Amino acid sequence: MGHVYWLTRHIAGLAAITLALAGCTQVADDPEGKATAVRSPSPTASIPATGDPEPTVLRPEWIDAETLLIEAPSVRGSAEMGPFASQAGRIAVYVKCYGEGSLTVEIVDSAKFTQQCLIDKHDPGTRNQIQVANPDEVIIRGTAESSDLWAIAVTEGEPAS
Amino acid sequence: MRKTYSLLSAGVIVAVLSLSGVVPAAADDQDKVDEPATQSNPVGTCGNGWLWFPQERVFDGKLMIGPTQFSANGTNAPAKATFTSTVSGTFTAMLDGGTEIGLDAKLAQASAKFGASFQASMTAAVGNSIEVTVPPGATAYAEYGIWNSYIKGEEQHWVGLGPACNVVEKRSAGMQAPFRAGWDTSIG
Repeated sequence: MGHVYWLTRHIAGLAAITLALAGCTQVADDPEGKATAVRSPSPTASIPATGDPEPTVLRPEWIDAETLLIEAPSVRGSAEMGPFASQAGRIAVYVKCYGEGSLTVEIVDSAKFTQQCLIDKHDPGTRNQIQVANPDEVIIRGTAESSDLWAIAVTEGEPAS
Repeated sequence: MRKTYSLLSAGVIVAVLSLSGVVPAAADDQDKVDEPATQSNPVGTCGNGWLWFPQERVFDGKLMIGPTQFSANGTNAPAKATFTSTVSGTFTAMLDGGTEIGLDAKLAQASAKFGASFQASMTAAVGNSIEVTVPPGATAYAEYGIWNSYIKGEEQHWVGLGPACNVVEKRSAGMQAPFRAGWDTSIG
């Protein structure tokens, strides 16, 4: 195997930072009120020609021993999260997206990537570890079509060596 | 470590036990395994069979697919560097030790215990890109790969009748499984 990294063990249970979502965002299933819900997705799940029926809720998943910084389930359209601080200076961005379009995630001033959405509610998504330019004020923007359903979780990454 | 006790017999009917409460507190009770003793069974009915207990995520690793890419910014202003995966690779989950419980069941248990959904197989594909902002005078590094974990666990053979259960054998049973593909970037 190539490089093997040991992740810093963090104390679990740190409160997630409140998310500030842009006005055009729709967020569902946010019982802790961390996001500003505009409206819930349609209660009638659409069934694409192929693949799984659209889930009504899409939850992000992450290794739970990692320190959670933010999370946002079931997002449609565009959203902005943060600012929040990363003590490690690197963050792990877990993204899932259900649909036929794509999701672009920008870690402002640091990195940007685009992820293809899939008609597969079991798709685990991706984990990208990114060194951030401004660890004290990390801002993340996600952009997708409103027909795509996505979810994101950000945890502390491994400190840069 | 492998230990077998005389309570095992050829006529034992093996029935895989549900994890839902049959042996809820026994996984870490090593002393009682070494000296088998009757366990209280709150469910009230005991069967005979093997269970797997994931105990600890020993490490997280990254199987790097392709070379480390880098881009130096020799200017005095931030610059954008785009990195694209050029090699594909697949990481297939591996069992280490006991095999009484199959891979799919272990993946499901590990996913429930540790958060992220572990996969039987994961492929890092060609053509995935990430754009990194490189500060003036700095170098950005990017590696594409498959994140995975080694999970330490133990298979235990439970035998019992009615409300009493004994662990009669246990085996070290680890698993290394992938959970996500993605980039790892840093600035130097």
